[in-house]
Amino acid sequence: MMDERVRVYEQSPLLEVAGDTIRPGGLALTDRALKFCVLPSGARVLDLGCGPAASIEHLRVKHQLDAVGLDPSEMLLRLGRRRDPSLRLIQSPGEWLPIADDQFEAVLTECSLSVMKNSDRALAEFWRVLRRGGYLILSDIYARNPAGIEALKYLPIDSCLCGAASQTQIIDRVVVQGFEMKLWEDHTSALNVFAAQLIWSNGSLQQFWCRATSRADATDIQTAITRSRPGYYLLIAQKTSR
Amino acid sequence: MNTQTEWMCATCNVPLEPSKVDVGYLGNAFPVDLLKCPNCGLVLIPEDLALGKMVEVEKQLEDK
Repeated sequence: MMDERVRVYEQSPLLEVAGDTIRPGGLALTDRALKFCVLPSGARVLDLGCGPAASIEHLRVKHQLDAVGLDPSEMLLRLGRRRDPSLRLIQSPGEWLPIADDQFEAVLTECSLSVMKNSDRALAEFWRVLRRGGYLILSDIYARNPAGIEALKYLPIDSCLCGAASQTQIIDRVVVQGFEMKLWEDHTSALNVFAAQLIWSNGSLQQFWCRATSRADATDIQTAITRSRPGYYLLIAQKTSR
Repeated sequence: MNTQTEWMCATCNVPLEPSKVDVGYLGNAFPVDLLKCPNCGLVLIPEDLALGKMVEVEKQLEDK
């Protein structure tokens, strides 16, 4: 069955504000994560959910990393190829990576895990393609009110908000795959700035959701999101064993 | 947005121009387009903006 929910990350009301990275924190949060991991020049890095590939270019040029991008959205990858035809971009869902085992020193997935249909399956794939000692870099939305999580799952949108989990749930999912936790940082202020920019461009968040979903009334969406108290985090974990 | 000919800077007597301005609140800031004096940097914030979405933005950044 086709999923007919609106892909918010492909809609112009979001792209107009979010720019090329389409996530809170932008490249500054990517830089923060890489400063923590200290990867050697030329290290192989997979950016899962790379979108229009702004971060791939950034990883290659600023950090001298051998970066490969992967995203299920052909529309967003087309923008990336237009940016630079030499970028290595793969169209694939994160749960089924067309990549051999033990290939990367780091897997980045920024505001993407929560969009994936099966995040446990995706985390198992990240583990598989990472080399021993490799880093999982995860930044995403989380629900600061766990009581609001259930309602998010039934929103008529395809967005990172729908897959938001609590801090405890996210850490448990990472650890159960065998990863060793290295860092959890709250970056909710980056999400609030992102939301403030959406308000500035659209008049209100309610109006943003109306535009993004082509609906006259988005009260149900806004109510469910507000109740979950969305926050934003950076998580870094390491594959310390095989 | 208003055109630059509609508003003048009372101090410098030059037309305000659309410019990128950083709007900051509680330690957070982001760039927006507003009318600004090219000479002294005075920024025009119309009443409807101050009482409308600027209030919404402040509430969002207060994270309540």
